[in-house]
Amino acid sequence: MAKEPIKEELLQSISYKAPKTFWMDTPAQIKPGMFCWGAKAKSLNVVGMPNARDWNPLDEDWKLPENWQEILIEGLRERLDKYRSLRLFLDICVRCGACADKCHFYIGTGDPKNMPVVRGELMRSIYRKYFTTPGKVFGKLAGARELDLQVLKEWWTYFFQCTECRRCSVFCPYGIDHAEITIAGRELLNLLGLNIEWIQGPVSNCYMKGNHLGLEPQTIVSNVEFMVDDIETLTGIRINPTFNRKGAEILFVTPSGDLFADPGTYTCMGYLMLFHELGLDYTWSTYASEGGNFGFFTSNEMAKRLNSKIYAEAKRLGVKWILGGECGHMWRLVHQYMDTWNGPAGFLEVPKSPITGTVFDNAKSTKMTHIIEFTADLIKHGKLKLDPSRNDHLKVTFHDSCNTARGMGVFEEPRHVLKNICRNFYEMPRETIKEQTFCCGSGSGLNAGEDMELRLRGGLARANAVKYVHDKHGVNMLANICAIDRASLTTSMNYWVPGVTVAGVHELVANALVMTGEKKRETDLRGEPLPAPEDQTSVSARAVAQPEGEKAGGEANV
Amino acid sequence: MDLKDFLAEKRSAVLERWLDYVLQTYPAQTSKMLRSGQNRFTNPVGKIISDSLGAVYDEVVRHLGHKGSEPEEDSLSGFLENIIKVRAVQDFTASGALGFIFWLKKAVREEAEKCGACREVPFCRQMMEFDSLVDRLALGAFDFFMQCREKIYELKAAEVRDHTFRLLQQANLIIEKKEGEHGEEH
Ligand code: SF4
Ligand code: SF4
Repeated sequence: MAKEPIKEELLQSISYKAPKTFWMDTPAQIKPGMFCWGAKAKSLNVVGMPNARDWNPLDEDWKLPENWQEILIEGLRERLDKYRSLRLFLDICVRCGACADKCHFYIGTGDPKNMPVVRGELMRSIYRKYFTTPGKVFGKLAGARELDLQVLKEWWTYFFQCTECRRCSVFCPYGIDHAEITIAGRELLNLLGLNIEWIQGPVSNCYMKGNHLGLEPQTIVSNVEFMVDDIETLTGIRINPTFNRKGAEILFVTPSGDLFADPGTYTCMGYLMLFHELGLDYTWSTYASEGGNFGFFTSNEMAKRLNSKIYAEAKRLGVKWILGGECGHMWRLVHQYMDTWNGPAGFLEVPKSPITGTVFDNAKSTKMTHIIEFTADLIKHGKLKLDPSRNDHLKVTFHDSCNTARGMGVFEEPRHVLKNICRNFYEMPRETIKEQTFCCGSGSGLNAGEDMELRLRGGLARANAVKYVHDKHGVNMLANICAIDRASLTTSMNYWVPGVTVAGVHELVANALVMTGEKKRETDLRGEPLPAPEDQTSVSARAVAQPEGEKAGGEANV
Repeated sequence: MDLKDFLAEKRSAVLERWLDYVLQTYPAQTSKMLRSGQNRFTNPVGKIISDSLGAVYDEVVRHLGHKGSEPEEDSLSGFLENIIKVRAVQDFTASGALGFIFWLKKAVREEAEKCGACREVPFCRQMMEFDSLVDRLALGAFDFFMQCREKIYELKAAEVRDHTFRLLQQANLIIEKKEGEHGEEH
């Protein structure tokens, strides 16, 4: 066989070398697998967004209004005046590069335009050109450039390749937060009808029906009833949750993904079981039926509009305070924006746990408490009877969601809960958790199907740390407190670390929760057999010493 | 010089060359980043690439001159799985993602040329065996690459299913009821 020629041919044909051009001279490429479909006319129309039309990002012609440049520049001007932080972030970057390799998208794609500093330059170069004297005079020499169609397409490509996770801001000596630049960038793109359908669809559904998928009230009720049936099979206990009940003490709001998407449904069963066991006076709402808010990935105005239903419903039902389910961006909004947008909710009371009497002062203004804080407080006061051995088949690690971790500083509560409900808990390495946590890769409305390659690249850094604890300790369960994580990490694990499943913390809480009058549990919430009885007894003895104020035994009444 | 000894002696030089070629497939700033600091958590791609190349290299050397049965393709390409998984989702065509395997031949030859080893007859004969090992490696790698690509499509389908599982379940129930009630299919 003539080996040499073949080899030479191969060597020549595979000389893939990356472009060496400066980023400004390298046009963005919109490639299948890396972008999401453009927002449809009907979804844009529902909420009165401008330039509603069907369009395809792969087409040359994006059907833009004639004066699109003017709209964008004026839009930028307005936002520079409105958001001091934006102007500051555009002004003060010294291009030191400390943030460059901190973005999971840069780590995974290797595309320099995913370096946070370059993502910032996408907008900064336009800012310089139209709003600063050196930029106007020296143009490219001063890092400025004209706003043309190529730049617009670049904006669209890369502002939808940032999950607004804020990891970069942790490492910037000036605290420059590229999430804010992306948020502003997307807001501006929305002035031209350039949203993605994966965001716009849920936004319009949420506006019309109260949740992302557009579930009707009866569907919500029957979904919950489905879970109630499953809980009865598992525990022998019939739970009777209420919906839209006026006069309940607490309104419970959770991301709608928990109602219909596995594995979120198991988390939802967890809430139901916990609330039943506590005898909590709470109600679900079929109108404020979405904790998530894709409006936040569209514009500040839209986020505010969609968020307002939560207080409106709390008022209508006359509840005292609001408890929220496991979600990520929902909490960033509650924590950082809700009060300014739609508060202060003077008609509500400061959340107070009816079980422990703890007053959640941190929610003094919003009147809304995260369920992980609520449950951590219950455990701290020894109010739950727990049998952690029922999670002995799981080796658990915890993924800090960007929004709860960097957006509101929730670090210890989920860990406190996890350490009390399971006995095999392993942390991922320090540089990948808490404030340094890596994004799942699919946040900020990028969890579509069509951009799967982008998501897998973006999820690599997180998955890589999971793989480490999986290989080292046999970790097989990735716990988290975010609905998008539950869906997207499941996919990411499937690719990067097969053998690791994903669960909301409250699914594991419910596994361990010993409920009054329950029958002996044979399986966990997913129908997986519990560890063999002999193992269970031996582990039980160990287990019970752990949580404070726990009684020994931990075995259910039969 | 015996090829095996040569490869053992020149391990770091050859690997360095090979790594260079692989990193050239990334933009300049990125290849610098991938090379810099080898924290496996903050620079996972860089670490995966350099670890994989090293492991594959050692495995090829181990198999070299191995008398008796040929090494399993699987075991050989298994060392490449981590890096291929990464490149299968990165911005490459199949040949772009996998071509780097063949550059091992190039790296070895260039290093051998430098010290004149490649002009010796036994060395050349061994080189043929080495080449065929690399080819086998590439074939196995190609299979794995295809598996990764298929997996990506599977994941998309699985998400659609999981995202709407309960709703589908209900829809089925409704159909069942209807069928029961009316005794006919709609
Ligand atoms: S770390 Fe901050 S100042 Fe340095 S390049 Fe990044 S954004 Fe600019
Ligand atoms: S906010 Fe997150 S995704 Fe966006 S540039 Fe910063 S690190 Fe990257």
